[in-house]
Amino acid sequence: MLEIKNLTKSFNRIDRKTKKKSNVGIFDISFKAQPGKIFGLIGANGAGKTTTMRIVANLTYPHQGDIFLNEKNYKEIPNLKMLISFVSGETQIYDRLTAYETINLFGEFAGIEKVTLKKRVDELTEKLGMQDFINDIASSFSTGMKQKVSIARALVTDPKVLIFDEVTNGLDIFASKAVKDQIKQLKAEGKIILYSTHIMPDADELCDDVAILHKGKILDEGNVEELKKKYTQKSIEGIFFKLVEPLLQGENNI
Amino acid sequence: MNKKFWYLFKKELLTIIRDKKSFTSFIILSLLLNPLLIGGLSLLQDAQKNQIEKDQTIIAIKNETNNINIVDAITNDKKINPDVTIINSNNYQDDLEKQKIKGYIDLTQIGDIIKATYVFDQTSNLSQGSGGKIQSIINKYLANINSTLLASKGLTTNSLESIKFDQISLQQLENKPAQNGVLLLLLPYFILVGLIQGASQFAIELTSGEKERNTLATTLSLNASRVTIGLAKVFTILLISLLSLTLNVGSLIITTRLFPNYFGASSGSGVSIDMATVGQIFLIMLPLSFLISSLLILLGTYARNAKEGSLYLLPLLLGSVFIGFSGQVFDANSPIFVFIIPLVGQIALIKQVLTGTFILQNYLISALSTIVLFFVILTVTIKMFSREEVIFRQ
Repeated sequence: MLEIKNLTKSFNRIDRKTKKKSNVGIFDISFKAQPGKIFGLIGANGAGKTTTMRIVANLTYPHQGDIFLNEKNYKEIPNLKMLISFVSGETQIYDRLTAYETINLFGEFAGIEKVTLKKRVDELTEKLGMQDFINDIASSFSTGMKQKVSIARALVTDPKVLIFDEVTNGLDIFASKAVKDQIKQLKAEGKIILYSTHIMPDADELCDDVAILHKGKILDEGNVEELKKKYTQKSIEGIFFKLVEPLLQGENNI
Repeated sequence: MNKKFWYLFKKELLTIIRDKKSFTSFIILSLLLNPLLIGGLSLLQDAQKNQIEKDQTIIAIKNETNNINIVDAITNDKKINPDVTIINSNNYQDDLEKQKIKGYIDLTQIGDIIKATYVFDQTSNLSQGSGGKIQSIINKYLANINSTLLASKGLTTNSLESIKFDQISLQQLENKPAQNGVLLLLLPYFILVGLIQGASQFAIELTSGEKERNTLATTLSLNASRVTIGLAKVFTILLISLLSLTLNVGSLIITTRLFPNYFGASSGSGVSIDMATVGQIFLIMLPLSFLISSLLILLGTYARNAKEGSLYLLPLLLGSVFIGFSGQVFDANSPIFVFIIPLVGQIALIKQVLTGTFILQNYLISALSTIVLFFVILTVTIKMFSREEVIFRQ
């Protein structure tokens, strides 16, 4: 289990137009993500999804709070990055390496033995349907092809936790389906999955549990079906608007 | 160095080499820029010289004295004037402006002396070039008069020149290259610019370029420390700057072989770059390559994108060009503190090598101070790599 406890990370931001200073980031974020389930972070742009994801991926560090993986604090886990993989719609792959070289690089860094690594890269190539372009330089790849490589490099280390940040952004309908199918399969394999999106139908399709974020704070979190009952809504989108709209009206009145 | 460093080093190197357009133009430009530039200048100079020599120089003489002998001698005596045609003019300045003549000699009487002023057109190369021919004519005329006068008194011209003054440098005396050679002036400049310019575009590529392409987060998600990531970038750029240095020095050697006259070979100031000299220059520049690589990565990392990165590197490049050009100030026999200053010390050391006055102690001081500064910059660079507000600055 992945347990996030009271994460806080704030930045001072100056509005270029109004020159007003504001404190943005994430504040006192807590939730639990279970193996074999997909935990969704739902929010508008600037809600704090990516900051939370980056902290969980150990790419950046919180000002306060702790993260526990199977009851062990992140700070006490050696080679933590081998247990977590981060895939982002924004994060690109190296466009001057071949797909094979990129996936292989991540395997090498995880210390996987050469023969095992080759076997694993071959398996992933087949699994994700990358045979036609595995040895091509990535600069000519479509967004869908790049996202497949991103997923493959995330999976090559066989991590316990997978973090997908807006991964279906900009993908066509086929590529988006392929990515979502892959995430479902990883869920079936018992991985702990964190998934962030602002595409609500995707969240409905994939997430078992969600946290609704707004301006760096969790408005509510829990099992999707229970939240639907609680807020008498049929979709996550409905829950989101029910929670966020009153706040937006209040902000506009100030 | 651990395995992870080498994996990253390989990845960074592939990123550079596989940018075929940039890498090929870097190699070609580094190799060909010097020969093309110097060759072009040399050819232009030769062509101009030939043109002036072949040119049928036509001038006029404006005589405001009572002496007609001088005009007659210049116009008719082939020993004094073998190839300049003298014509008459009613309006000297107008004829010069209309390029009917290359210039005119204005003869005026000042007491017992005749003053000869050659008026030429600054806008015309041929007019400017004709000055030398006219001076030679006047000198011959003067020598002729003097020798006739002295002969009438039973003397020779040697009586007037009992002492002949000349100056020669110790290096010329010992057959070493002279300090004022063009090469001595240009070499530090070429090397410095080559070292920085060649590597800077690739440093941007690996730092702010990676931010711009959104691959920095990918690199950070690798199971490697930020120290290793930063070091791999610095050492990749170090390799590229050494390649740039090699290509630039190599290109300069080719240039000196192809156009020795441009570097003063004919005037005796000498062109002397052999393999031992190249090796010495390489060793002198090695610590500087370390320093420059870490500086390039530091500035590139701080920038938000490639455009901003180029802007940050500009002062570094301009500063180096300035120091490279001001190489004349720091000579081979500079005081010891000069060798403590990175860049300046290396320029003085290159001069020592080229003039055969290399002092090992100076080299050690220069290398040590540069390496100390390299470690300082490297520490700042690595620290910067650990600062999220810099790494995720967009």
